[in-house]
Amino acid sequence: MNPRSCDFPGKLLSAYLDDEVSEAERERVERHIAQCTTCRLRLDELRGVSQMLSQIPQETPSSSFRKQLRDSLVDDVSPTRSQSSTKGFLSGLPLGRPALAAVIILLLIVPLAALITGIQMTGRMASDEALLPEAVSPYAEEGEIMTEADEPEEAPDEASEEYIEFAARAEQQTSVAVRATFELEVEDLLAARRDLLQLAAELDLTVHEETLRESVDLQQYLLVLDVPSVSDELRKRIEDLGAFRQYQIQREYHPALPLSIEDVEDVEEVASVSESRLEIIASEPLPPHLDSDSLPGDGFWPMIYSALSSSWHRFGSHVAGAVLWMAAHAVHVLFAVLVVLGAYFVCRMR
Amino acid sequence: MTSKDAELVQQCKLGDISAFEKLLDEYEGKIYNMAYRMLGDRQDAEDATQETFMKAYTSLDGFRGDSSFSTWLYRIAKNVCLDEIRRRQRKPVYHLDEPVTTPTGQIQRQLPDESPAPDEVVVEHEKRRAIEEALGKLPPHHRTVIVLRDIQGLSYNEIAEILKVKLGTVKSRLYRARSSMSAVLQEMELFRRQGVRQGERREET
Repeated sequence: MNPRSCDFPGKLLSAYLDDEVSEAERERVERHIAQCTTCRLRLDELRGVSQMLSQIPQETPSSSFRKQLRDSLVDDVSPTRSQSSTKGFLSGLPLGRPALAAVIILLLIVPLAALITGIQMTGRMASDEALLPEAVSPYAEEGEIMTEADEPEEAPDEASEEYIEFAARAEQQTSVAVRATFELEVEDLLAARRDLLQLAAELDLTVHEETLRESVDLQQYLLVLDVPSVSDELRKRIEDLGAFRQYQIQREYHPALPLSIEDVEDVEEVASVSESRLEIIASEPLPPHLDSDSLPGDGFWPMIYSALSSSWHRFGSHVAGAVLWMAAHAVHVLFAVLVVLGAYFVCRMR
Repeated sequence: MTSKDAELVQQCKLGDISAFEKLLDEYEGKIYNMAYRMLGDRQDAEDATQETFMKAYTSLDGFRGDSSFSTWLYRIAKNVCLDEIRRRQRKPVYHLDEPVTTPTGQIQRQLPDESPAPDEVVVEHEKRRAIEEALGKLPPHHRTVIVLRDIQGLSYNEIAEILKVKLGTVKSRLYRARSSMSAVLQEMELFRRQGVRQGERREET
């Protein structure tokens, strides 16, 4: 009955129950359970749980609660919604005031919008630039597909495959040391650790660091590996240890490749993890086609210098972007202000 | 998204509150049921349901229809429930069998009898309680996926959209959730068979 006594992936068994497998996977499962008693038992066990849960009766809200819910909607929410419509808070005021208010709002909003748009524009540019150094930038586009992978509209599995491919190709081209960080969600921390050590021995990997983390809602396994290259096989083998929460590859010349963020609610966590891993790993000489001046070299000071210069560059470009935006739209802004002022005076004269 | 929902959402955006009431009729049962299974408490489930619909109503303008309305609503409900679970972890926990200290000395806590009417089938009731207890022992993200699939009956694709994770993650997470559910149930069954109640076990250790 020990579920670990057979290596057949349990998630296939579970998905098989729900008919959420491909034709090939179904055949694979059926072939396997025909000959494996352990997995037949596992399947029965999973089916039992699933059926048991689906049979418990629906809980229905009480009628008093349903009434309360409707009342609270009418009382609390609808005034705030109608306020934002046109006959809102300005309607009680004398005729001239709305125009004045509009002028003030416009004067406040325009520079703010300019600043925000400027920041967004330059932010985008900066992140595009930051993605990879020039020489590898053809991959930047593919990197973008990757960062949008958490949008449900995209086929997420495919996007991630592309990322692996992208990382692998980029890595091949430059042939520098690779460090891969995997954050896994595991069921059994100790078993995962044992499996990992086995895997590392088998594939001849250096386990650089491993952290087991157990919190109330999560069992996490943070795993940092030095790998010769990032292959599909490696990814698959590691995925067998537990579900990916995130995946990150760092390289000597560029510490912050795009993260694979699977779970949007964990963005903050992801960010903090990636920050803590910004150290640069021991290196081979840089490939000649990379401009070494623009890259952080070995050692402490070059690193600090590059961090400082990049943050200054970003800040500067935000402001510059805002100013540019305002300049480009100055005519529109001026025109709008004049129209509103005109309206205001017409109202006053009546 | 179903065209009916889309139409109702559109009407809501134009300020028609009766359209939102129709959406309420359609989904309040589902959201309440999910919240109850996630939180295991009627009052908390009611609060979570109310909060979910309030949030949905006030942020309806931001709903662009990229996913279906129900997916969007489930996502809000999931976040509300997980927030509540997180809040609970910060709150002090009272043990029901602990005496309460009052100025006049210690008294036993008085609790309303919430057990159902005696005409309910006892075995069914026992089973349901066991399931509810086991669900409560699962880590929240396991509970979420198992509730969405086995109780709410959603497809893997819908779940992936609600949780914003990949399909593969839904598969493995659901497998783990079912496995641990099974383990918890077996453990509880074992205790029952041995006639050992958890309270007694705590005293022994």
